[in-house]
Amino acid sequence: MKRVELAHILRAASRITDTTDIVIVGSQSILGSFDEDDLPDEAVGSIEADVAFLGDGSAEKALAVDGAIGEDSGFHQMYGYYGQGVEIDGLIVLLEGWQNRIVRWESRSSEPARALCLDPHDLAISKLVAYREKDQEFVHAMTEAGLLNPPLLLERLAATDVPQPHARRIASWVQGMAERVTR
Amino acid sequence: MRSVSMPSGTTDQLLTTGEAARVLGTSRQHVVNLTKRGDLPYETTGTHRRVRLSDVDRVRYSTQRLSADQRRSLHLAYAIAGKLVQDPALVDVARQNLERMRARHTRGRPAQWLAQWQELLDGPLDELLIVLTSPSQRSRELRQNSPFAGVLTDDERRAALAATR
Repeated sequence: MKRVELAHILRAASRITDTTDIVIVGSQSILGSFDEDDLPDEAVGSIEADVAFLGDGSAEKALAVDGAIGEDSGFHQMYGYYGQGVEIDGLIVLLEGWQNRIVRWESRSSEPARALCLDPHDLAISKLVAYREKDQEFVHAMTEAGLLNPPLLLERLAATDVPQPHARRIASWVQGMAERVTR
Repeated sequence: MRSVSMPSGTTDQLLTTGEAARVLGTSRQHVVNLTKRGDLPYETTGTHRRVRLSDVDRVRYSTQRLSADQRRSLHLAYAIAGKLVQDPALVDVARQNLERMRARHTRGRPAQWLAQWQELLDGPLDELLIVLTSPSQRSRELRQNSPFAGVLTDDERRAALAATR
């Protein structure tokens, strides 16, 4: 996904829900920090952006987004990308203090919406906790491109409440990956 | 011998029950029980049971909790699969969408998933239906990059979403 496409989804989601601050979770969050041209191919994500809301009515807003501009909608057919309404629930691991590190992003074409994107290192940890092949690829490619800092990843990981065996597995993966990348 | 074609980027090799047990993180006996019960299809080489990786994946992911949005996505795909069975010509809608989407998304994962959709749309309908309705990780990713927008009418789409709640 490109920033201009994310801006379009933000603008539409904002109209649908009458909300200005829209949280982008999932891999498209990275577009808050970097332009798509500065990202490695492995970090380009998918054709949908996960859109979430804070406060009262967040679940209803997510459903409204899905209904209007979600998967297989007329919006999706017309533009070839779509917004998926999600709820920030137990399935998305967000690090303690993530809201203090939010990256705000907006552009002329996203008005009046503002995207609240995850800090890249928070995003990387939330992906590593899921530990799918694509998540490892994402973190590896971003580190290789100099966009993620392995010591900071380990520091953030240590501050999570991920169960110890899994945290150790992620930590050793990060260390091994960092050695390969810097060699 | 019947050959099964699989889209590129995937492998569907036959596994021993021991290998399947490692993939599932269970005992070999549990895998044998699954085959005896009919929950895991198998074929035999001599006296040994062999199972397909794709079937093992289906068992593995069918118990993995779907998030609310993944469940909505799966329900939309069920509805689409139902319409395709009755009218296979609807695949043309997806072909037209896919052409536009491939021109727009040329990099990274999206380009790879869309290439896989191309092979599925050009292949037998049955394989397409399996991907649309499978809970596997690969199918979840493929559905997230779906070319089937416009196959369901607005009312059908709304009904499928409403039924998910």
